[in-house]
Amino acid sequence: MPEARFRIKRWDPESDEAGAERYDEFTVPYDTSLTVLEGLFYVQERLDGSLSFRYCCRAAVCGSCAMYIDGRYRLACQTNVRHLTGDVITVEPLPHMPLVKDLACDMTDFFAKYEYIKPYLMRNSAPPEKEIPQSPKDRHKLDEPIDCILCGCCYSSCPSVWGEENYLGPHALLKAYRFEIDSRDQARRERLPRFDNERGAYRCHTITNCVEACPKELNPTEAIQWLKGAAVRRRILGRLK
Amino acid sequence: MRQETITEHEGGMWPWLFQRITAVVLILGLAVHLFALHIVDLGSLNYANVADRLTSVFFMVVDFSLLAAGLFHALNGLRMVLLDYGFRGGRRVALNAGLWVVGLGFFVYGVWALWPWLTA
Amino acid sequence: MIHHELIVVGGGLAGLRAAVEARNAGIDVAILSQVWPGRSHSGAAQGGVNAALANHPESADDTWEKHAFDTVKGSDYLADQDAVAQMTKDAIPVIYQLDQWGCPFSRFDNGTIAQRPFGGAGYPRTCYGADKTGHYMLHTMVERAVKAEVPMYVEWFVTRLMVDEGVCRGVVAYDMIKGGFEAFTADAVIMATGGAGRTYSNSTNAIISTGYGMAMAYHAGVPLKDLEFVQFHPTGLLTTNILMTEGARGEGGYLLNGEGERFMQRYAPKAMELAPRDITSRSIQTEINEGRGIDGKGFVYLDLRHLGAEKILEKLPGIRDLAIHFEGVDPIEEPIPIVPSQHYSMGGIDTDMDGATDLAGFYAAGECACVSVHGGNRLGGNSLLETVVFGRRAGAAAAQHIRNSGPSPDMTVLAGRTVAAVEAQVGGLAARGAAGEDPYAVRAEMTTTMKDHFGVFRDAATMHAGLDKMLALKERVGNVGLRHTGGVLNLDMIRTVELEGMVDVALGIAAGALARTESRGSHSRTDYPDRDDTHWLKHTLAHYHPEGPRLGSKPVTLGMFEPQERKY
Repeated sequence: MPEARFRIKRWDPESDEAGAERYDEFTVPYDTSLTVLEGLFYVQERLDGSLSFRYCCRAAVCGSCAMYIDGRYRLACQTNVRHLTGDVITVEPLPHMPLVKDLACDMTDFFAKYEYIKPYLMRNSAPPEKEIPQSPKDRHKLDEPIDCILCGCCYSSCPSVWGEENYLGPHALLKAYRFEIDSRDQARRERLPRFDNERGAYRCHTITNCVEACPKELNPTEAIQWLKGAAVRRRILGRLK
Repeated sequence: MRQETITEHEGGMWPWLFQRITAVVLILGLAVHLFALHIVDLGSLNYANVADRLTSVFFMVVDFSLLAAGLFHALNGLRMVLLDYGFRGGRRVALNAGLWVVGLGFFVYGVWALWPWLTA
Repeated sequence: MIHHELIVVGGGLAGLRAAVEARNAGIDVAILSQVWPGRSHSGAAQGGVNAALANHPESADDTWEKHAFDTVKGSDYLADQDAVAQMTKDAIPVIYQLDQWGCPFSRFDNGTIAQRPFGGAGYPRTCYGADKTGHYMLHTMVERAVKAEVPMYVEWFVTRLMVDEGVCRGVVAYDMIKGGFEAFTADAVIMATGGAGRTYSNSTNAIISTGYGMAMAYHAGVPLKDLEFVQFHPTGLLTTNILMTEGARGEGGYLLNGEGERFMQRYAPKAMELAPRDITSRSIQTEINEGRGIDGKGFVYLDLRHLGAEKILEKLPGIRDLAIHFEGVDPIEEPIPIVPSQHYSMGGIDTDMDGATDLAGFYAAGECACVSVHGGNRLGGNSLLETVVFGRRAGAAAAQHIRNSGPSPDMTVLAGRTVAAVEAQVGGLAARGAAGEDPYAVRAEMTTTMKDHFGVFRDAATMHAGLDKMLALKERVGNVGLRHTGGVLNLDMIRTVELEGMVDVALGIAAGALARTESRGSHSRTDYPDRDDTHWLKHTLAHYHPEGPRLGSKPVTLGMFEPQERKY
C-alpha cells in the first residue's frame, strides 16, 4: 500500500504563542487515489483529532479548502497526491493572512471587501414581466468572472494586498467587473467610486500573482485593467458603461 | 479592513491616466529625439547648428514635453512604489507635495536651461 | 444570549431565500451557517432548474400543469399534488425574479433564458447556466442577502433547538471561530440545512450534508416524513461519487455498458437516457449486477465524445474539469466511468406548503424538509426549484407568524438551561475521551451499512440484517468519546456531535424502508416489485424514540392526476 507523508503547519491560538507555528509530520496510507483533503481527514480522524481545516463540497466548487500546498496555491480537494512530487507534502494555510487555527485563515477582511464592492445587480428601471433580455454574446462576457468561488488564493497571493491592508484585492475587483460588464446592470455612480480609487483598481500593479494562483484559472488582473479603463470612459468620456 | 479609512474618490484615476499618457509621450518623444540626434545629418556638428535646431518651435515642444513627461512618469512611478510602503494620511499628503516640489523644481530648471533659445 | 425575531439555520439557497423574503418584509432575521453561505452545498447543483417558461423552440405549448404532471408522475404519485401545483405555478415568477436579481442563466439567441431537456420531463424546461446552475443561483442569492443586509453568523454550528412548552424559541450554536456555545433566542426558526447524503458512503453530497438539521428537528419531536425515499443519481464519478450532471445526458450523452450497447433502450425505449433517475439508476445497477459492466466490473460509461469538443466546452465545461481533475478522464477524448450514487433525500422534516411543522414557530425548507413535492422520486431540476419556491414561502409564513404573535416572553432561563444541556452533552463526550467508542469507526460502519443494505435494490433479508447493524451502531454511538476538547474550530467535536443525529436519521431511513412492503419511486424492493396503492399510497412518518423510530403515516393529497402506471 502506498503511503503519503504530510508535513502540516500547526498553530492553536489557545495554546501557542503568536508566531510560534510548527510543523507536524503524519504518514497516510492509501489504495490508488488520495486527495490532500482526504489525507487531512485521515489525520484528523485517526492520528490527531486536534487538526483544524475548512471543508465542504470536496468537488472544487465551494472554495473552502484553499491552501498552500508544496509551495503553490491549490484546493486541497482537487489536489491528488499522485500529482505531487517530492517525499513529503507540505500543507500550509494561505500565506499572508491572519490565522484562526492550523490550516484555517481569518477571512473577515476578505468578505468585508467583497461586500464593500456592492456585489449585486443594480437596476434603476421597473423590472420587466419576464427575464431581462441578454444576448448570448453579452452573456458570454460573464463566463469567466462568474466562475469565481471566492476561495481566497488570489487575495493571499497579491503583493498589493500584503502592502496595503485596505486594498480591496483581486477577488472584490473581479466581482465588481462581473457586474460592471453585465449588460443587465444599470449601476451608474453606485459602484464606480468603490473601485475608482487608490484602494481599489489603481492599487493593482499588474503583478499577476493572482492569475498564477487562481485554481479556477481566472484572470483578475485583466478584469482590474478593464475597470481602470471603464472609470476613464465614464468619468471623462461620459459613457454609461 | 479598516472600513472608515476607505474614503471614496480619494483619487487614483488621474495619476493612472497620466502615467499612461506620459508613457506614450515618452516613447514618441524619445523616438524623435533619437532620430534627430543620430539619423538626421546636421552637416557639421557645431554649436551654431545645434543652437539653430533648438530654436525651432517643433523641437521646443518636443523637448519640453519630454521633460515634463519624463519627470511626471518617473516621480509618479516612485510615488506608486512608496505608497505600497504604507504612506497614508498626513504622510501621503506630504509625499505628494514633496514630489510636486521636486518635479516642478526640475522642470523650472530645465526651462531655465533652455531659456536663451526660447527667447532668441 | 443573542436575540433576533427570526433565525434561519443554514445559508444555502433555501435559507438565503427565506431570509431575504423575511428581511424584505421588515423582520429582524439572521442566518446561522456552518460555512460561509456561498460555500453551501446548493452550489454543487449543476444541470438546472425547472420552470415552464416555454422559451425552448420545442416547448412552446409547455405549461405549469404539464410540469406538475411530470413531477407527480416522476414521484410515482406519492407527491402531494396541491404542493406540486403551487411549486410549478410559482416556478415561473421565481425564475424570472432570479434573472432580475442577476443570476447568469445561459441564453438563447433571442435573449431569453436557455432551457434543456431533462430526465422525466415531457418538454425541455430546465433553465440552466452552463453546468454550474447551482453555483450561479447560490452566489446570486448571497448577493441578494448582502444587498438586503441580512446579518450572517458565519461558521456557527447549530447543535440544538430550544423548545419550551411546545413552542420553538431559538437555537444553541457553537462559535467555531471564537469557541464556546451561545443561545440565539427567536420568535421563529427556519431550518434549511440540506439533505442527509453523508449517511451513505457513496454520496455525491458535500461533506457537511449530514442530515443533522433533520436530526435536530427529529429530536425536538417533529416527525420526519418519507425518509426511505433516497435518490440514487445515475451518474456519479466512479472513484469519488462526484456528480456528473443529468444535463450531460440532456445534451445528448449516452450510457454504454461493457458490450458498448446503449442499454437504456431495453428499460425506457422512448425516453432512453432521459428516463427519471430512479429508473435509470436501476437500469445501470441491473447491467452491473448481470455482469455487463465495463470489463464485467461495477461501473458503466457516460459517453459524451460524439457531442464534440465545442458543445462540451460550451455547455458542459464544469463536468469536463471535474472528470479531468477527479477521474483523470477528458470527456472529449474518453468515456467517463460512472456508477449510481446516493444523491438526494426526498424525505425530511414533515412540513406543509408554508414550511410550517407540528412545532409552533418552527419551519423548514429545502432538502431537509419534505413538503412533499418529490414523493418517491425527485425529477432533476426540481430541487433547485424547491429551494427558492419553498424558501420564499417559509420566509413569508414565518414573518407572518412573528407579526401575529405577541411580544416574546423572557427566554433567559430557557437559554441558560439549553446551553447548559449542550455543554453537559459535550462534557460527557469529553469525559469518555479516548476510552469511549471511536466515532469515526461508527461513522464508517454506518455509511457502508446504509450503502450495502439500503441501496438501489432492497429486500427484506438484506434490510433486516442492515437494521440490526444500525441498531447496534445506535448503541455504540451512545458511548463515543471526544478526543479533542479545544475551543477553536474543533472538527472533532462537530463531527462527533453530528454523528448521533446522523445515526438517528439513518435508522429512520432503514426502518421506513423495511416497513414499506412495495416498490415505489426510488424505493425498489425485489421481494415486492410492484407499487401497492391500496396499502401504501401514503406518507411514512417517523417519530423519534430513544430506542428507535416509531412509524406512523399520513395520507397523500391527490387531486389533478389519478395514479397510473409509470412508463417512459
